[in-house]
Amino acid sequence: MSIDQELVKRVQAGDKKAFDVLIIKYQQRIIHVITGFVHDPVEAMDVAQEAFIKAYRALPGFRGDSAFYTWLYRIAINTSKNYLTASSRRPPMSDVDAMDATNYYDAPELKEFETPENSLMSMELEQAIQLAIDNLPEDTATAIKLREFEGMSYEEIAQAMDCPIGTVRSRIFRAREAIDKQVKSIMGEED
Amino acid sequence: MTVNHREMLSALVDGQLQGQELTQAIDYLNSDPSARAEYLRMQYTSDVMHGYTRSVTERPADLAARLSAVLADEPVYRQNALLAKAKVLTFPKTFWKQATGLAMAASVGALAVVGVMNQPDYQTTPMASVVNSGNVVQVATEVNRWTVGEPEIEDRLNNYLVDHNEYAGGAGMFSYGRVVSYGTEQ
Repeated sequence: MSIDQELVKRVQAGDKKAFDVLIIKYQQRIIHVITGFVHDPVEAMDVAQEAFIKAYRALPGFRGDSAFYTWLYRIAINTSKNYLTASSRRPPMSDVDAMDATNYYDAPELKEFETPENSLMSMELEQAIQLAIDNLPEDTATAIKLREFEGMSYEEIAQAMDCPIGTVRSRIFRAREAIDKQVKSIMGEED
Repeated sequence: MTVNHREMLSALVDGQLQGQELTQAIDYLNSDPSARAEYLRMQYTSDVMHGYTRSVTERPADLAARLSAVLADEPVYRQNALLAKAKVLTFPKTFWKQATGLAMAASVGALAVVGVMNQPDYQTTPMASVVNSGNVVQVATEVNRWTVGEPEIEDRLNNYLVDHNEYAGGAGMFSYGRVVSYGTEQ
């Protein structure tokens, strides 16, 4: 069972705190998708909130026939379209398939809605992350790159690096620790 | 916050926790604000690395915190309250035997009731009487049983009565169906 399935099961059994984990896990992705429709960041946040509320209310009917994120994504898209319709703005004509969602990041008609502040902030963050990774010991850097950029599971990384899964977990954590130090300095949250 | 706790949060970002460890992580996030802040940053950093940057801000949003008041008013779900899929129910053979037996007993009982209702003393139940084929049935106000000398013939007539009424017509056809019963001879 995937962690999403496990979390959904817990929410359906009465553990609301498990839904918090799902929100934190997918909030940035959902805000990212919604911003493609609702360009104002404050409005996008409101629509994202509404999408998660709708998802919680619909959770008893979620059977797991699709992945949780796919299901959540569709709710976010519909919520965005409804929001645009309600505020008399025209939603995009073409529908966006869940599998294509992440590819729309590069779509020119959506990319143009990044604000200069947003671009600068994301560039700063990306640079800080890259700097942190470049300064990592080789095994640690390899582990985090395989995880974040190749999307490999701990088991797959353990096979690729010929080490125990516990070692993979530990290396990835140390990588994140180093990255977190850099990110905190940008966010003004020093130790 | 111990190193083990923080490593657990890192594994949570990667979806690598299950069972008891997942329970611990969830409880930890809800009880320790610094743990929650670190988890938010880890997840946020991962999202930036994956390119979800259209709405990057100085600090990661905590929608869960913003939604906590709203979600507090939402119902807590219980497993048995979930919408169930249609299930094919299977019953043991003994169940079907009993059900069949009950059905037969009910049929016999119904026949007995029809018989009882046809007794001369039982006059409170109005019965329809035969008029003519195709005409609206008139409801009789009195029930009188014909006198048949031989019990065997009487039994046969009773059976015909029951059979005929059963096959006279279904729902919605009653206005022009025929119903046979005992009636006073004209």
